This record gives sequence, C-alpha cells and structure tokens, in this order.
Amino acid sequence: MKTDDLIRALAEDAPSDTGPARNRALLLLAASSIIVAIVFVLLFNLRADLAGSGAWPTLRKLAVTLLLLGAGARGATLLMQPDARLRDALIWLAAPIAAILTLIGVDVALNGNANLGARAMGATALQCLASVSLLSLAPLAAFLYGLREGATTRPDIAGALAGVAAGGIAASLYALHCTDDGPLFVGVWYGLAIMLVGAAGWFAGRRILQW
Amino acid sequence: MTKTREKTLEHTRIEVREEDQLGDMMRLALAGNSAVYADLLKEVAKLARGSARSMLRRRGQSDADLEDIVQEVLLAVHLKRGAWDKVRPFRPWLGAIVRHKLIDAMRRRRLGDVSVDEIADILPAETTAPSDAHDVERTLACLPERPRAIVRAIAIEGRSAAQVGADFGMNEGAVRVALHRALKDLAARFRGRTE
Repeated sequence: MKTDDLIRALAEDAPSDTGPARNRALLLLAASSIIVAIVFVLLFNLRADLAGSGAWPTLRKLAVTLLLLGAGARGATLLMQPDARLRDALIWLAAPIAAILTLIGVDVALNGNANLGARAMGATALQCLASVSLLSLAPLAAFLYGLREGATTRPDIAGALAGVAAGGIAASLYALHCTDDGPLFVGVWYGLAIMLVGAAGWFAGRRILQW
Repeated sequence: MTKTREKTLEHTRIEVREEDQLGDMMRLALAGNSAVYADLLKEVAKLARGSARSMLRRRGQSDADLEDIVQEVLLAVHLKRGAWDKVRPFRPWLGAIVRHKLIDAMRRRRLGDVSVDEIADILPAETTAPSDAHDVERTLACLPERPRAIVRAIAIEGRSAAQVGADFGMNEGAVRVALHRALKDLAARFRGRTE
C-alpha cells in the first residue's frame, strides 16, 4: 500500500471526538472505586470507634493514603501525553512520602524510640498486606484500561503510578477497618502493600500500555 | 547585533506559526474536516520520512523499509489523536509520538538504539519524496479478506465509506467500524513484525 493510499483510508476513518481521554480514565478509576467500596463494606466491618477515639488516627492514615491516590492518579494521567516530563509525573509522590515521614517523626518525638520493631510490626501486618493488595486489583485493572487510550512513552512508570493510585484507594478503604494506628506500622505495611501494587502496575503497564 | 536579533525573532515567529498551523489543522481534523486531516497526515508523513531516512542511512540500510516505518508512524498518530490534549501545543506531542515509533522501529529491526543526538534530529523541517520500492500487497496481506477489500476500496480506489457500503451491502456505519478495526489491526501487525 502506498503511503498516500493509507492517508486516504485514515482520513475516511471518522474522528471520535469524545473529549479528553484523561477524564475517561479517571472516571473508570472512580467507578471501580465505588464498586470496591461496596465490596469492602460487605466484607469488612468498620472499626467500632470510628466516630469516637478512632477518628483522629483514621484521619491521619487517610491523609497519607489519599495523597498517594492523588499523586498516582495525577502522574499516570499526565503520562498519557507522550511529551510529558517524567519529573512532572513523579514529583507529587513527594507529598505522601513527606506526610508519612512527618507522622513517624512526630510519633518518635512524642513516644520515644523504645520497641520500634514491635511498633512497626503491629498485630495485623499480613492482614493489611493481603487486604490492600486484593482490594486494589479492580481499580488497577479499570484504571490501566482507561490509560490505554493515552500515548505514554513510559508504560512501566505509568503502570506503576496507576498501581499507586489503585493502592491508595484500597488503603483508604482499609484504613476505615484497621485498628493498627502507629505511624511506623502505617509506613511499613501500608507502604509495602502500595509498593506491591505499584510493582504489579509496573509489570502490567509494560504489557498493556504499549502501543 | 540588531540584525541577529531580528533574524532570531523572525525565526521564532515562523516556528510559532508552523506550530500553530499543525495544531490548528489537528483541531479542524478532530472536528470532522477530513480534507484538512489528509493534508496534516501528508505533512506528518514528510517529517517522519525525513527522520526515518536519515536514521536508516546512518545505519547503512537501504530505503526498502522506509515506507513501512512512515506508515507505522501515521497509524500511531491516527489511533492516538484522540488522546492529544487540545489545549497543549501539538508539535511537541507529534514529535514525541514520531520519536517513540522510530526508536521502536529501529530496535525491532535490530538496528540498535537511537542516540541522543539522533533524537534531537527527529522532526526537522526536511521534506522527502516517498520511496517507490513498496509492495502494495505486503502491508495489506495480513488482513482478513473482507477488511482488506474495504481498505483497498477506500485507500487505493479512493471511494467513500458510503459508496463502499453500497457495493458490499453494508451500511456506512458498519463500513466505518470495519475500517477503524482494520487500521487498528494494521498497527498491531506493524508492532508485532520482527523482520
């Protein structure tokens, strides 16, 4: 086929101007989050003291997990543009990292540094890992599907950021259940869970976001 | 000194105008103007051809694969055009797409990585004529019979989707869907080819 012939065929393939692809990807992320939230409410019970003494520790955790969600979603959708700069896509990750480090710093300053290992281990580490990774699967799949419409030149990083966003959703939900409140626990186990999901996104992105 | 500055200004202005021009063309194309879209794609083909040719030459390759690479770039621009954010400048977007596809094409042909210098050279305003050494059937051969007939009727015989629909006993919408699917297929075949 001559190139001019191909151009004729392409021109005849009517445009599908359906608005920004980014919005569709975010919509898929939001819709899948709602479904996972329903599943979460059915499978997990909210912590009993959520409205009372548990409110503040829960909010602390939510601050970190929602920042992760924001940084991941922003970075991944930014990378839908092939000319996006990697730095601009990654810079927002500094916010959740700064938040958790601050919380850990305050905790050590207030409560001393005795038993750091035990405080980090908590009582529900494996449950946290398993729940957050499993709850993130559907949002990760849906978000990656939406990101396919983009033209990223870094499928691996875009996939990992999608994993961070999906992990952020799962961790935000799980935070409403989890009673392990120590910032060290949150840093280690929520962090590890998010990294697992990010790694899954990395590998999935390399396959799925190629074009 | 003033002269130099004037020259720089002039140069900048021309570049800005060019950038606007391609972006405006894409905006019109997305709004449904297929004549402008065809013109835009011809510009893109020229730019991609210039870059691809110099890359192949630098590697001591003939131009045998040149039009394959150009067509792969065109298909990528076409299938990803909906992802372009219309408030962002078009030229850098286009440059990134072309670069990505050229790097891909070189790697797949085992012609090695593309150096930073070469990347900077991609998308100069160079224009080159298409190479003729290109077999019509080679690109289309990978499609099943019916989509191949539809693409051939539109691309080579230059008929509209409505006319093709009448000939094939399909409605125009179905022809467009089949065409779109066939183009996606072509892009996938280009990607999968390891020759």
